[in-house]
Amino acid sequence: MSSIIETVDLVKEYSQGEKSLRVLKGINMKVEEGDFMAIMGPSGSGKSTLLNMIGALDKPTSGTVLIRGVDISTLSDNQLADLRSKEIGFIFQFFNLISRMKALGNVELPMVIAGVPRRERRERASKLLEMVGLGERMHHRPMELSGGEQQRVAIARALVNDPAVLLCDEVTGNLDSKTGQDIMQLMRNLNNEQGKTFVLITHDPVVAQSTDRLVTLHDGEIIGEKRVW
Amino acid sequence: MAFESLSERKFRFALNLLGIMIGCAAVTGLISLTQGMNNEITSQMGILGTSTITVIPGTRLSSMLASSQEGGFMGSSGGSSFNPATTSELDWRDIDILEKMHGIDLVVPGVSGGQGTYIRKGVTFSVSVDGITDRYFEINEADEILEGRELLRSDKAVVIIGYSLAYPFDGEEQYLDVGDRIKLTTKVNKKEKTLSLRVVGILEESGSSIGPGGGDESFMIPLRTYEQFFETGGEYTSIQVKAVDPDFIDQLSDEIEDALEGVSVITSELAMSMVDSILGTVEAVLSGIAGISLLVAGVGIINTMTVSVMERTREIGVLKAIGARSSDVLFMFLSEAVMTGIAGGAMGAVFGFMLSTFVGNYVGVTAEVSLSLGTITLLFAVITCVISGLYPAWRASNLNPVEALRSE
Repeated sequence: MSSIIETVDLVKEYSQGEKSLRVLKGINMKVEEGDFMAIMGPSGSGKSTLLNMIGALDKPTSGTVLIRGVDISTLSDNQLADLRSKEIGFIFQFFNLISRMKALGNVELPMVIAGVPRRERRERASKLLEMVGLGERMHHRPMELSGGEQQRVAIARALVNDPAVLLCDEVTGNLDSKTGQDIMQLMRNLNNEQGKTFVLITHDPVVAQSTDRLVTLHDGEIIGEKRVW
Repeated sequence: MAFESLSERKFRFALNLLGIMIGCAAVTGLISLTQGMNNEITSQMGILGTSTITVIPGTRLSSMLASSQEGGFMGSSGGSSFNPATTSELDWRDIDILEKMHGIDLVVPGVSGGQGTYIRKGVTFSVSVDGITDRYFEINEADEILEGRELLRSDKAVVIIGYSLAYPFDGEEQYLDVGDRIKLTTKVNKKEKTLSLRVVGILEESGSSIGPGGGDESFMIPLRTYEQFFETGGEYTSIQVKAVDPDFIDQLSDEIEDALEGVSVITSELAMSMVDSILGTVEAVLSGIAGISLLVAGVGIINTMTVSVMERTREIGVLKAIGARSSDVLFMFLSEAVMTGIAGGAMGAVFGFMLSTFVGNYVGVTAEVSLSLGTITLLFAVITCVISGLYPAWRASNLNPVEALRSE
């Protein structure tokens, strides 16, 4: 298996006035094709920062992040944007859907940015919405959808450009446990049936236990890594 | 994408649109009105004729401008009191010189600036009075008689009246007809005088009181009668000269200026350029004022868009996370501004034309409604909006995606 994402001695510091705050203290980690893994840790452990790094949203202070073998610190802002467009799918805790757009429009949005022709957009978006179980509700706006439904839209949106990896930031954190389980099941199915790679960050042990691989982060360092299965 | 975000913020968009629209309407309306005015005056200047030179007292352009403002330019109906001593400097000697010059076909003196009142059907009318000769209509071909006749050499106590005096108050009723007699009253040298006149002719409607002689609200009486009544003693406020060959009119103008000391000559060309320069200034001032309202609208757009960027910070973060480049975000916000500009500019131009046509009808000027002015307005609106939107859009595009995603 080849690594989709690899970090080598990844360090991230934020400057706060005179002092600098070291959030990540040399992370070495790999995400392999077909992984269904979790990064767990308490708040402030640096897991969100790590997710931003491997999602090419932010550049490291030192060390390297390789996405499909490309060192992201060598890329321009535009190249980073293109990389996010093609290789990364983000799913957020608060869904982050565009409220004035219908479900279909939200799923089409990454394709608009990527320059996919309109007909293909419509086709792919509808197909994905059907796949996540929202075939009947694709013409509703986010406000008219339940939390679980919104998260399904967000998953469809993340999948639409067929990215190498889906990065999920506390995706069940804003859902009740039953809905959370459904969402986890949906992602699990995508992993099993379509081989999609998932990286979840969470502080919920239940979520963490339902993945294949678990990386535990504490205070900017990896303190444990184990195969759940 | 930009369109959908616009419909969400309908109210704010409408306000921005209104701002731009008012600015554009003001600019378009004022310019089309002044252009209409320019057309009007230019067409009236055209009746001076290309072969006609008007000689007036006073030297050079500066005095010409001054005298036209005082209402000394023949036929204009300004000036509240008649003051012959300072306005008339031309006399029979000048006529003599002009008549002996080569290349001159016709010399027609005239006096203007007289003021008087008369009562007709219980209404007191105030008129400006010009003194003309029987040759007047030979040189002012555009002044045509609607009813009655032109002046004859033998005429004494007669008058040719402007159209609006025969048919005042929008022509609902004829107040004066050929053959009617009226008593013209005026004050000359603090002495009240009365002159009995018989109407022999009514001029066709000319549209305004600008132009040589006539005008819709003036009296034209024989020169001799004018001199006796207003006690002007052989002085003229203008002498009109008809050149034999219109091609040599500039040369002839120079010769006249040299031959007669202390005079200015006006050709139709010169008069038009004068009008152009005056109206050009008026237009510049008016569009400057209107431009300020466009500027204010621009500031409004900066404000609204800045607020909009702040509100949508998280959305911008999402867009960047799903692969939008900074330039995509910039373009998205700018296209909102462009849409405001196009919509506001187009509506403003249309509204402005409607306004100028309406006001023009009211004041008697045909507003110039041109595609080019509309296009310029539209372009100007778009440019204003783009400039206003540039900074907020640039700020949006430069947001750090991580921080943008974290914002509430």
